[in-house]
Amino acid sequence: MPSRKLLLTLLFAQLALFALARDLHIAVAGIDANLEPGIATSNTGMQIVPNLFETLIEMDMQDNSVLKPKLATSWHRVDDLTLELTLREGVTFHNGDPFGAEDVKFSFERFMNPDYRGSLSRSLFATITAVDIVDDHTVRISTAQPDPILEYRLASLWGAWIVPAKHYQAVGADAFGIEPVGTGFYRLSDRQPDRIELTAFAGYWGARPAAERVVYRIIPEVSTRVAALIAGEVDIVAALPADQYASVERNADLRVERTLINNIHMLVYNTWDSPITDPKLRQALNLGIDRQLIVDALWHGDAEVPRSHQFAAYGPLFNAERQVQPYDPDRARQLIAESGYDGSPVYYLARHTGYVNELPVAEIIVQMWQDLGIDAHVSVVDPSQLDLNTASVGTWSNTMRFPDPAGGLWLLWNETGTQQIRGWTPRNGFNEVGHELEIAQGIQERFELSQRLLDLWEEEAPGTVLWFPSEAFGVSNTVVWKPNALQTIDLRAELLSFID
Amino acid sequence: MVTTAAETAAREPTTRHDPTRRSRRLPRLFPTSMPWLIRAQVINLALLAGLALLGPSVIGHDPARQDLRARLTAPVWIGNHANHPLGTDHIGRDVLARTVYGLRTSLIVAAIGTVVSLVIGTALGALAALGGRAADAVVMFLVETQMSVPYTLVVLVLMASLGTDIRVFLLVVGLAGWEGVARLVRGQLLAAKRQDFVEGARALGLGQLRIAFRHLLPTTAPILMVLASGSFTGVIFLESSLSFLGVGIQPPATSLGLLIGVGRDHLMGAWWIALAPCALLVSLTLSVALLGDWLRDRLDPRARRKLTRR
Repeated sequence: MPSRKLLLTLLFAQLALFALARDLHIAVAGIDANLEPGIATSNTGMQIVPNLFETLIEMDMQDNSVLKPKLATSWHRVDDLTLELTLREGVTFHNGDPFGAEDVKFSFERFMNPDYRGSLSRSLFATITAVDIVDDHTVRISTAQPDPILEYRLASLWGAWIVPAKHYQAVGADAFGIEPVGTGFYRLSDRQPDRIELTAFAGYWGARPAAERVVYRIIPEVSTRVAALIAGEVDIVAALPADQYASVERNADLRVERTLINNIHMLVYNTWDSPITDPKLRQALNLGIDRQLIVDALWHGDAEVPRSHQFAAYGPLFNAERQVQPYDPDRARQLIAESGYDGSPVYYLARHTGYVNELPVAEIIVQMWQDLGIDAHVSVVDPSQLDLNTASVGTWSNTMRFPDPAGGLWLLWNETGTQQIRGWTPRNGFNEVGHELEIAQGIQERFELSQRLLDLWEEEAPGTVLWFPSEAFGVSNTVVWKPNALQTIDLRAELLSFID
Repeated sequence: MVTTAAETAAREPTTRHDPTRRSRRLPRLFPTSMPWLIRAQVINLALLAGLALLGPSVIGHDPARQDLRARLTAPVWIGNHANHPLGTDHIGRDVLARTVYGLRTSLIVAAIGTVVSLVIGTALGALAALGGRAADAVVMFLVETQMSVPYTLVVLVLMASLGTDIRVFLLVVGLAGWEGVARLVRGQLLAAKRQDFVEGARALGLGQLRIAFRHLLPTTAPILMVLASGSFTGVIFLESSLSFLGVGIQPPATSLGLLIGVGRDHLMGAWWIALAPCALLVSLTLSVALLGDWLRDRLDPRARRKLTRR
């Protein structure tokens, strides 16, 4: 009976295919509506963008200071102001367009448009003055001043992604943000308001990822997300608060994966038009937060209080001796008295579904401030109303864009950064020191300038660091995958596999 | 309030049916015709109201006071010391104190919301019935518009765009049930207008306004009573759902719905945060609903006719 044999073979072949082509289901708290990769630079955008797009140069996941080729196969400095890159051949975008020098030129020149909406990306690439095409697979990137860290900028996950010039220009930024097209190993295959589906890109130049399809489901409520994991509906849940570790670990086939991320939860102050215009008062607020107590209680000790606005990944530019922001209520009370605080209400904006623990943290800090005699209040707002102009205190998080103070404090707080646009004008020379840092070449000089920058920032106190949050995921034991400090959900072949 | 209303309402029909039973005794706590189930609800509501009024001062814990070191303490019956009988929440606040405090907020919001909807509904219903054809058309247009729009969605949009101000919230919650009130009041008044006693009053030469206020509006009282109970439950649920979704009562204030919303995130680890507010919400709405049902049976002439026919 050859026909039956054939049928059986076909059946087995099909079963084998199903077994091989496994889907991965991920529950996330939210995904940016606009996935234009220079705009979707938030922590939620980073959960999906690195699977769709690629950069020219890649930062090593473990040691962020090591650079590796990606869409550029090699690069070298022509002179102080020019970097030449050789581009990989045979790469295509998801829509079939071949990748070439035109796309690189367009990707970086779109940040030069003053109306471009990704203000952080614009700031990250502000030193670039021109991208010149040498030939189809060679480009030269020039800066006006020597930029010692240009290669790191090109390796940054927060905007350095290459987009297809022709397609992008044809559809426009908004449509592109809804249906992004990159060169990554996944392409976007379906998009609904509450789910996004990626399918392995058949034309990818590198290794094929382990999951044929990846489904991101948006489940804002923590307990619903965890329930979906326990019920086996999803394989990975993101944004798992410490209080939920136990309910995940109670299940033998689930585990918690966590890592400290290169991101600092922050408070930002409205220093323009609010009761806290006096730097002394803001210093007092900063001294009045018992960060370690909150870390112990809400993160079960898993988060870490930073040594000011510094990341250990800076390497030689990290000052391990710098003290953590002290908790000193007595000194705080003294400063409040000196500042002549008149008892006006200080409103602290928080969202129900924002950063992990955002609302409880707001309620706790507000009580700590009330204990100092500040008339502090939590003001719960819809994410669309998160406007610091209407309040005194807001929440933010600062992600290191590349391992250098110019990719941390200076990038995020410089005069084109969000804070100086919406609520802070430094008066103590912060910007001048920052500009010196941008072009300083020697390690020692960069170190001293960055420490000076931190001193000035702490003196002005336009905000404060809270902690490095621990980013935790609930993961099914059938999935081999680990989170990384770069805060991405990276699903490439060497990082994800299945056990059956 | 509800108790006395129930008493008077309940006594009337009995006495009318059986005049020999009329006695000069002191008013009983409950009318004899009140089933034990309904009496239990009246007692329960009185207890809840007492708890909301007096509870916060008796419990001795500040509902807003945090103690991070004692967060997520389990209730006393699973082995914790009696300092926090119902345990503590995710930032170490006393669950009992917060529940009682939340109950008070929910009751106040429900009471104000109900009164607002009754006042608006009665006024517009009366205007529609007595104010001429144009007024009737306008009011009924508004009623039908409101009825055809999913109100929770409207409220969500309103709260998201206007901001979560408590006054806006109260108004929005009050606007929730007015259209039902207006329709019923209009219907009742239209029916009452043709009754003999109104004709009589008109024949005596009484003015329009006097007839409206002295003779017509009082006939709507029983209907309003029934509506109030229904609307009260509706408003409590609306408040709770909105607070649960994060657009209602805002921290540090709290309400039953908000407490349940917070408890939702901890259901698997610290179920006690949601337990007491859920229990109170069920108990409160069940009592009001049962009482309202009974009142309707007693007061609604159509329902009564059905009962006697059986």
